Amino acid sequence: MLVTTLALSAGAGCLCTPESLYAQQATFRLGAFHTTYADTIAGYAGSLGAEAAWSSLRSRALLGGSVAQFEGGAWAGQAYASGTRLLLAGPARGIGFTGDMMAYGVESGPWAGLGAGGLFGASPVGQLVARGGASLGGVHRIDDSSSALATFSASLGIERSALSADVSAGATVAGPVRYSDIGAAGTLRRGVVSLEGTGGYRFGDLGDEFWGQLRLAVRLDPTVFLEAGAGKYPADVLGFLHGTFVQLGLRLTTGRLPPITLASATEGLEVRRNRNGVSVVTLRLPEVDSAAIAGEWNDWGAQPLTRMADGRWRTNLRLAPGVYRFVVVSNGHWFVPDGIPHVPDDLGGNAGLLVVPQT
Amino acid sequence: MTRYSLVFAAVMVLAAESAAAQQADVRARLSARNVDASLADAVAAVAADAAGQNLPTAPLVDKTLEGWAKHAPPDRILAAVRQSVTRMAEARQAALSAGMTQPPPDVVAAGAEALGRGMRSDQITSIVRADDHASTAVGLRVASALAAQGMAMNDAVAVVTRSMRARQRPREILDLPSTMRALQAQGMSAPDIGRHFLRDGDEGGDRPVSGQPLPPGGTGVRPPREGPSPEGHDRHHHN
Repeated sequence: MLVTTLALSAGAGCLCTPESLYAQQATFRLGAFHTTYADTIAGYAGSLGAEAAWSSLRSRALLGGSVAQFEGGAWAGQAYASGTRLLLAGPARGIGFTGDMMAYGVESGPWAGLGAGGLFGASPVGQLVARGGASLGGVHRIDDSSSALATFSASLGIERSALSADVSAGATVAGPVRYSDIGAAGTLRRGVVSLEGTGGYRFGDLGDEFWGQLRLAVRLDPTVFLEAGAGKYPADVLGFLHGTFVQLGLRLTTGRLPPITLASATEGLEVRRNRNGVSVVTLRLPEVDSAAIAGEWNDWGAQPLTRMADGRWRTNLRLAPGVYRFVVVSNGHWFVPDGIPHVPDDLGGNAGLLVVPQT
Repeated sequence: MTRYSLVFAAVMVLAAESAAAQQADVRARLSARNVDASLADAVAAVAADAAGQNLPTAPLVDKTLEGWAKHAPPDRILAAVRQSVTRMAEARQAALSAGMTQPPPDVVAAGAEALGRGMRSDQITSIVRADDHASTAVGLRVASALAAQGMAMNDAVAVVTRSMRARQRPREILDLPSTMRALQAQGMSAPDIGRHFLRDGDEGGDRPVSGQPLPPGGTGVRPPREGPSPEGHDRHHHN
């Protein structure tokens, strides 16, 4: 799905790298396209870019890039892409593949980039969600050296309506360069204010240093946001130096709703619809010795379920995507298993709800 | 007899024949499932009346078969069937008042179910008006499902209408109950989830709702680089 937000943002700030750089910039975003004008003490520059995002039940992808021209006439470009594909998924639980790349280059000058892909897993741990992953790839640094790249990372996070936070640890091996990160990130949302903080400690061959960034957004109006940010970033594997920054801006937007994606399973019921239109329905019924399923798709005739391991029962149904009412039948007893959303059936009992996704 | 009188009489005969055919079809479907003959006759009569009101009869057959399979008393089944007719008539009227000239059977049936779950007629009208992707029936059923999972009906309707206005496809709307289940599994309360869904629209950004397992930090090798340079512009605000 193309990004459909129309946004206009403007900002002014100070980019304090080895040499301080003050700049004002304005960005205009229309659909998937954006353009930026920046005026700095080192000269002005303009850029034109595009970004496309796509998401489905189990996949997400982002692809973007831009070209910029500086006052002296030189061109620069950047490109980035990332993708995630869930192979197995449940509520906050899953195994998947992820990959991403980024590249930066200046006309007749140096370029840097990296690309990596690997596996990740996520699983609930009490009220928290644990995630971990490993990626392999390659990196080309700004000093024209290249090497293989391997990263390992893990995190433990929590998501609540007003607060999300996680702590993470990671290790990176890029040829002779080895370093590790520990970090934490959090977002606090209260009323019209959203405050994001992230920071950590990077240690190893890139040097030992703390870094941290704080970003504040205040909704002045449903379509107007005041944004401010400040922080420090560390030296990275591409060869870019560490630096600090402060910035302040306004963002105007049409306020379109983003796509909502999800996991398609509950603890007691899981439905997977294959590409051939067959839905594999798995129910957790640990305390029964026979089970069948009946619903509005088969005139409420009991269709036997096949027993699986760990108290699970399964059947295949050919159903179009939609919401169906059903019950489980065991030894002549009709019931909706605990924990499954249900509605009154107007007959003195209940009917469970079976949601069949697209695929 | 004028020409108009003849046409009117012909239409009335056709309608009567259609209702009779519906009645016979309903009776045949119920008999095929060994439903008691007197109950089948009574339901067939109610179905013929429903067909005369341009209401679908399939939900009535379904409700009868559900009750018969669950061994509910026949009088209770018949009461539920009559209640379905009343709700379908109200749902059809709500769809008509939203500008739908010929409410499809699935919309009428889903609207009736939603009314039974506590949705008001004006909320059905809101969902019909919000839809431009032929997903009205899905939206009605998903709102009912969200309410069944504990979300206040007002919030459920707001979440669904907002999704429709954002031109989400039926499959994305169908994902809402599972997303809610995932967030509930993480300990979030139903009212908080409603606010969570609605708040993300208010933020006006491109931030996806969580609830799907995500990898930890991409390659994990590069914390966000910020600053007002053309190369480093607001990518991280739109991740």
